[in-house]
Amino acid sequence: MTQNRRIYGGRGLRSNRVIWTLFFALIFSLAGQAQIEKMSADEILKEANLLLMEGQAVDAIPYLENYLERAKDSEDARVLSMAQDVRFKLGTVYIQQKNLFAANTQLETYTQLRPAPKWNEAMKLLSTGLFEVGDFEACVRVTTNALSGLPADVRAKLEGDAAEAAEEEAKRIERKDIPYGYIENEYGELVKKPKGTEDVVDADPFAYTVADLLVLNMTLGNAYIELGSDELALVPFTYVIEHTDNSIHKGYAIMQVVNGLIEKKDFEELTQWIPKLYRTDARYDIRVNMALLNAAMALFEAKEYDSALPLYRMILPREELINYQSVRMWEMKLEAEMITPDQVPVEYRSQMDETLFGKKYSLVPVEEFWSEQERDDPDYNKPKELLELEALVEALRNLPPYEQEVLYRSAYLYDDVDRPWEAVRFFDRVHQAAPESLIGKRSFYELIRVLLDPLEQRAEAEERGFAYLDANNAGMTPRQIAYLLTGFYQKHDLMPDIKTLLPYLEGFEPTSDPSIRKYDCELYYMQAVADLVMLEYKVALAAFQKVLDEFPQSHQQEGATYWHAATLMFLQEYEAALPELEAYVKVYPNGEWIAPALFQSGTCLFGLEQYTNAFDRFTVVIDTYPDAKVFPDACSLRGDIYGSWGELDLAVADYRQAIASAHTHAQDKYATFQMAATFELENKFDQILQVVNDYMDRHGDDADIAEGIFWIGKTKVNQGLIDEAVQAYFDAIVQYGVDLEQGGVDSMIAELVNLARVKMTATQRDQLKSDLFSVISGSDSETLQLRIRAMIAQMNGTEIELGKQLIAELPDLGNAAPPVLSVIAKASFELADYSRAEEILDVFSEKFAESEFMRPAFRLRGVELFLAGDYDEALKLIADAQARYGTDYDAAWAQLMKGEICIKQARFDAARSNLTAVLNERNWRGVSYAEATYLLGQAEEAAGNPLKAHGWYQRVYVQYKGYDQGKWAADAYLGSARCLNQLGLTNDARNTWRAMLFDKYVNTLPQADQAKQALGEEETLEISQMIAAGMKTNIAVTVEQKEGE
Amino acid sequence: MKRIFLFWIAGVLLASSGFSAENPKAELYKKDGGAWRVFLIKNGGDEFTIRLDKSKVNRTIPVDEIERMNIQHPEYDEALIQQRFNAADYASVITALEPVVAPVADYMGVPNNLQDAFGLLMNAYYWNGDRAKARAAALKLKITQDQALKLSALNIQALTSLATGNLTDAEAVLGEISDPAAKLYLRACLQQANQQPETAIQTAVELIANHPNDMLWMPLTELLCANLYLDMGRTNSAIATARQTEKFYAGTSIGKEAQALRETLEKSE
Repeated sequence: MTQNRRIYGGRGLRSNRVIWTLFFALIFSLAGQAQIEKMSADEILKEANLLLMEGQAVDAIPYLENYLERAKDSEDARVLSMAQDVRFKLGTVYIQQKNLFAANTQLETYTQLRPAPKWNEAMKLLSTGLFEVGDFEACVRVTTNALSGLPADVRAKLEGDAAEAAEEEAKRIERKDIPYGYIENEYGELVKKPKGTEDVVDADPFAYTVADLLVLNMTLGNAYIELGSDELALVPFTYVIEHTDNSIHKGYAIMQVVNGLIEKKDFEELTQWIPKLYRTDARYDIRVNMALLNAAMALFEAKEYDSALPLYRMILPREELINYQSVRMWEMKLEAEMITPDQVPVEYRSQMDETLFGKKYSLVPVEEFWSEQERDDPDYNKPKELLELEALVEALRNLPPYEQEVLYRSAYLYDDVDRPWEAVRFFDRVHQAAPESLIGKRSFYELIRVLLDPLEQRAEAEERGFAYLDANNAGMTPRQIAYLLTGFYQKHDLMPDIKTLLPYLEGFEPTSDPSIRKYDCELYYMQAVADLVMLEYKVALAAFQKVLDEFPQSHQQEGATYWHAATLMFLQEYEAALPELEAYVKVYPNGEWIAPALFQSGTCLFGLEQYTNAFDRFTVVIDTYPDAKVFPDACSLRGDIYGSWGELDLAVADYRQAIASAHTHAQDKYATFQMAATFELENKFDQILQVVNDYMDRHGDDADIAEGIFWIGKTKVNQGLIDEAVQAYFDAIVQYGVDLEQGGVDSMIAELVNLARVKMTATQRDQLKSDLFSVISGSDSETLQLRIRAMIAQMNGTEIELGKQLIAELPDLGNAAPPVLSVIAKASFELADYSRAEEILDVFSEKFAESEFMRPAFRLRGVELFLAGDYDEALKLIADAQARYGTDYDAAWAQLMKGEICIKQARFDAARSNLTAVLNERNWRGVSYAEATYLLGQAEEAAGNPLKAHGWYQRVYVQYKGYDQGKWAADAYLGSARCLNQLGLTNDARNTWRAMLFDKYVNTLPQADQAKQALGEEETLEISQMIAAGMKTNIAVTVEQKEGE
Repeated sequence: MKRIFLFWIAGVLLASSGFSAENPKAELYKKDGGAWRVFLIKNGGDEFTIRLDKSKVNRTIPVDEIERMNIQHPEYDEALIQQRFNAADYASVITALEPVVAPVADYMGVPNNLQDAFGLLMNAYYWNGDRAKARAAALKLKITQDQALKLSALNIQALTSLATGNLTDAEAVLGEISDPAAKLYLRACLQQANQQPETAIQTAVELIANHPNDMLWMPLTELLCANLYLDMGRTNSAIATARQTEKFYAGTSIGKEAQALRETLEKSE
């Protein structure tokens, strides 16, 4: 209670004290006012000046105001002059009191009335005053007036006064006899003029000083900015940049100029202006850096890449900036004596020594920036510059990271201007710095992209790309990386490599994000295309179907639809392909593949022997799509139909059209030689020679010389000009045979060998051989000699012998032409000597990649890899071989080996699929069918299906017993007996062995020994005797019946 | 007769001392605060042979006692020569500077007023293709205490070694350099000489990334990048890099070199 009373009592007492204070102030004020009124004007001025000198500016205000009130109607010059002086003083007092509105009123009046000897100073104060109160338009008006110079009347008056004063001074000096070079000091003593001052003549003593101009320009620039006129601010801020020593002011002005130029979109000026900063410390200014960042981005957006790049380079990393400014802040604290040197953190001391030596910045004296208000602030003893800098550093710390953005954009710029290595390493830096960020992931994508294209740095791209895929399976980036790698492989025709990505695709975390699903769709689509190119038609078919099923209505819907149909056609499943192709044509009448779809549908009809419909379809293509890539093909196939109808002239016309419109050499070649074949039907030999020669002229060295000479030779043969044909081949071989790279020569050799066998007499053959031996002995060319030796060996049927000889003879295969290499490969295969398999294939790959003679080399190397158990490499080689030779007769081994590898790898479904594909290929009928069927038996046996295996084995020894000297049948008998034993059908197994021994195709082969061993000597002898007696078993009879079927 | 003999003796002494009126004159400031006006007679490695202006006797002074020298030289327009250098007019720089600095080339290891000019002459020799002269100048200048000049001299030494296939010497120079940007630049040059353009350009890019505002090494490095792209057979990239180098360093000799390279490549396309 006592406490409360004391409190309330205290409060009451304090309130009363305030009221009494105010009361007395009012009384004194009124009393003072009354007292001023009683004073004369001179007394008022005297009192005001006294108060101002004593620093009591507030007390001087009533006197000054009173004086102005009294003088307002006066026209006396002296009074007017005094009033102006009072008005100026009053203005400055109001400024000190922060009463800016009153100050501005007084100063504006001062500048409008005359005399105004302090017009410059008043305008400067008015300029800043107006800015401070936010009257920016007035500020601009006043400041631009100030900068345009003194009004003429003010200048005239000042000049007059100055001249008068100078005259007075001269008289005074004359009177006092002051010698030249001396002046009077403030005590009236004669002293020497300070050195350097006597001859200085100010150009304009009434103009603003540089310091004043800096204030005015800074104010004007800021006012323009406030009014949104950034462009107009450029001139005043440029003045500040060029003249100020204050680094903070300079930095601020630079920032404003940069922003102004960006606003103005004056990139040329910006580009020329900013690099000057390279050589100044202004680039360490935080605001300058932010301005540079803005400028660089503006230039980047405007695609002014050459200008943006140097700016990005100039932007300093945040830590570097903070470090630099931290040093400065410690220096400022030292200068302001806020701290002692030992309080500076150790890490900054060494840097301070450097910067303090020949200090790069200017410090404004502390006192200049102190005010009463600031003294209440905890930071009151900090210099204003330090406070500003602290605020800037704090703002910088709070800024989102910008360094990675700068690096990323720099990388982008390098990439754009075709400096790919710079781009790669910059993208890499961004990724390394922030691998999980969005920009880090994007950079990784760009890194791999540039490595692959244009740099083609496959090794690094794969190493990093696959490492990334191993570690990441979710989101967009892994898909993008897989996409880049796939694209690269596709571009370089590395289809098997595309397939290495499939497991990664299958491991990607599923998502419903449409943009990611689009990538998935594209990736699976590319996989399907790779399968197609690798002739894995069934796999491709399933892959396109997957795209259609799992990504309905995707961006690849049309492509997948077409290629699914086209793949069916490649599988020669014309009946299935046709409706799909026709559906494509219906759904996509303007589709990307409309012309090929129409053409392929025609091909299907052709395959289905619906020639009229096919003819119509080709005609649609020819009439509607003259620019399509399939146009020449359509012409050729329609020509073939005309040919089959006996419309040979029309056929020739189509072939001519095909040749004229051919997009590829293959199209031209096909039409050319089909036309030759057509002419051949009519024995138009001259036309054949004409069309073939035209073709060879058109393509020169790129022409298929072998085919051309073949036709020329063949025509001459048809004309009965065997000798000419032989001579043509012979001459061409001798002429071009010395050149290892003339692949056509090797085809001619094959033709000449054939001609010798078929058309020549023994005498002619001997003559030819003799001529060939002469060439060997007369030539220095090892290449030609080897070619001819290979040719003679072919004629004699001694290729294997020659091959064996050459294996020993040729340690270096450098001069061996394709037929020679082929002979060596065949001999090696015969000898089961795989020691040079890799070397031979390498020579082919490097020198004769397109040679037809390469086939045995592929097989030799394939078998070597297979036997070595290097299945991955073997599969790659098979893919390569199949991409080249497809379903050619002698390429069946590749498909068979693929199936066999699958068996070894226990991938039985794949084995079945691969081996069944052999049986579905008509080109591979014969021994390959036998082997495929046997291998299917092996697959089933290995898969634990002895019954199915037995079925396949039985099919071999029933259907293909004579193939390969009975090898497959013999193996199949043994396999079959094995399976029957496994099934517990021992009697059937025994019968199988018996049948084997009765089978004349196999009973003398080494495999028959196993049957003999199983049956025992007695039963074997019995069978021998029965065979000798001309007896046949039931099984054998059955077999013969089936063969007959 | 005696007088004639004395003149003869003086002549012999002067001749044997190596003194002649052609000897350069200099103000020599010593570390102990003293200063002499001298004729420079000979650089003996650790000491200079000099003759005081008013003396007739040669004396030696250890080099490490000399703080700096102000060498008397024919007048030359420094700004104009720098301008010519920037315009890649190296021949005229050489013509203008050789009479000024060549006579005092032996004294360039000691701080003096002609060191900058000598550095400029050394670089002019190099870019003008006078590799031997450039190298000789570099070997004289590289002992200076001025770090920028020393670095420039070492750079020229290394580059001339590379140009003559002396990779061992270039490697050795690389070991003498501590400036990280300079090290990267020279390493890239060395890799280029070793026919490793792809490795070299990655070293160069490291410099570009880490020292983007190094105005001494950046222009050289960007020009090097242009040449490395050319070595890789990437003419378009070489042109692009040369074009940017030309633009970024317009008004400098490297800018001019880049321009010449670009123009040559564009003509040959």
